[in-house]
Amino acid sequence: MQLSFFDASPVMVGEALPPFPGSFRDPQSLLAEMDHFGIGQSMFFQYAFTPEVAPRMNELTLAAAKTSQRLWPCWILETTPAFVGERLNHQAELIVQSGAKAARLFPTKGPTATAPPLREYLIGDILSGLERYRIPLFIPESMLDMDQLGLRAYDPIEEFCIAFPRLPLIILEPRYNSAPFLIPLMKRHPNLHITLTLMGLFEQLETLSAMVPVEQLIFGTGLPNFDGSIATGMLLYSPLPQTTLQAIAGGNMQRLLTHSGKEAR
Amino acid sequence: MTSITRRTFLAGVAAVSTRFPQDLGSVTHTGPETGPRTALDEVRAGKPIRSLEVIDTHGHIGDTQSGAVWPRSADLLVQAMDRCGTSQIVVSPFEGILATTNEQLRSANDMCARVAIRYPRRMRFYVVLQPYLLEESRAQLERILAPRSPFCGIKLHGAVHNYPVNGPAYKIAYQFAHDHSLPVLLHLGPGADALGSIGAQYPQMKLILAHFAGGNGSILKLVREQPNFLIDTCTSSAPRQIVEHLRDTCGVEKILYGSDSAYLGMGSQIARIGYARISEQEKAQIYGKNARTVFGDRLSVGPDVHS
Repeated sequence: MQLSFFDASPVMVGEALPPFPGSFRDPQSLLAEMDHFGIGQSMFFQYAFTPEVAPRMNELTLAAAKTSQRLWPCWILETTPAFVGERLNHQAELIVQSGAKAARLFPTKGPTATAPPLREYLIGDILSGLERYRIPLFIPESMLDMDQLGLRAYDPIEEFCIAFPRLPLIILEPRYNSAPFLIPLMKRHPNLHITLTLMGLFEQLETLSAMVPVEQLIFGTGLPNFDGSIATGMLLYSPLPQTTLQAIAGGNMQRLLTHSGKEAR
Repeated sequence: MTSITRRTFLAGVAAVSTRFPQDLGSVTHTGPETGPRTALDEVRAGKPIRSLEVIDTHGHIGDTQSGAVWPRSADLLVQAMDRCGTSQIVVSPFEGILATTNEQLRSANDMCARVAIRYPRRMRFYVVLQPYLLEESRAQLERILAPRSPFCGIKLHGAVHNYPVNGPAYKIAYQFAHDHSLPVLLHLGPGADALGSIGAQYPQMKLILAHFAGGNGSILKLVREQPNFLIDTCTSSAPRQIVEHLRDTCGVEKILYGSDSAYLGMGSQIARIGYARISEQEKAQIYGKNARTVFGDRLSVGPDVHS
């Protein structure tokens, strides 16, 4: 088995508050972990907490990305204004200018923080910009409202898929029991992708591959929250054809990144 | 190992098929040219573990038609074992855990006995004690004592059954295990606080706490202290470096390899041990040697995955 892994799940680097066990203090420690698991490249972002959380994170992330060409900076979207009159809907242009190729939502903190901003009226303008430049957007499943057995948890995701059909959406670390919601959604919306970290039921990868387009399945470890062996082992010991596994291991994310930053016509 | 820059990566991808590209030009999973030599080499290459004996102490099978999404059959489980290099597995039947009648419970164990004939060296079985079918469960325990029985331990699922650790039905299982020096695989339900007294009360029982008791710190401390307590390694969402943490917390001699297949996938579970930053000797203990100590001659004599 020969697989080239691209870890699409953006890995957090830096000291967090409260301290996060198993976190990566710096890019070098992340690179060492990638070597251990045979991961060639990874999305990542640098943690910070200041009044300007996202801009500071992005500043640090872009600086850290310069230390290794194996690290792909993931832009932290600002979804809550920190200053009067602050504009948030021009972030797509900032991302393109910075050279970052993907963005993610991150829980906001501080007195202006909101609940997860997963409504079109809250971040529609921002997503519209991302769609214009086809910049993939990561949304952690943990930001969805999983109450009521998740029955309505994926409603905002479908709302986004419909409103922004050319925006590549990647749900990070959905749980294995979210599959009944995800399978029909992914069939309906080709721009909806998932990372497979927690799709760990017996032969669930193989089952998913038979039920949804393989192009929508993305390799991601979920480091440092999860052990890197979960996602790598799932692919390395799968009976799926090598071409399918390579698409999942890196090719599908590669395709999304190739288009990222190019203005859609 | 070769590396690639983001610039060359993006330039290169334009020239290759974007649908199913074969190689991103970066780190690839290949063993040394002479072939994998260690469990880490084998896992990195996605090869079956052959350098060490692998005995899986936590598995399940279902009696289902092919094509069912869930549950999955013994045949599919053996195929996964072959891919991963697992020589033998100790399983309990899904139908036994979920039985609501005496007939279902008996039938589940009958199914195991039939599977044992098909896979005499690859599978051993836990008898499920269903606390709400106590008399039938008690009768089923006797299967373990038959000469050359493929049944080698007891499975308790306190979570599915919502049954307390120190409930009277479970005490019957503990006593039986104590009397015959048997392993009990316990998926914790309510009342875990009572574990300490149970360990002391039934010292000849070998109590395996499934899913490393969810990583509960006080329970892991108890596992280290109680001579007859053990844990297994299976979980769907392991935190980073969990195996190293369990070794440091419980002691490597207390850790058994378990996959929870065919409920959970096997690849992630086998890879977790292989990738762990522990010695090869410690991996040998977790993968198989500790299971040999716990299950003794109730397991197959030796690894036959190569035969």
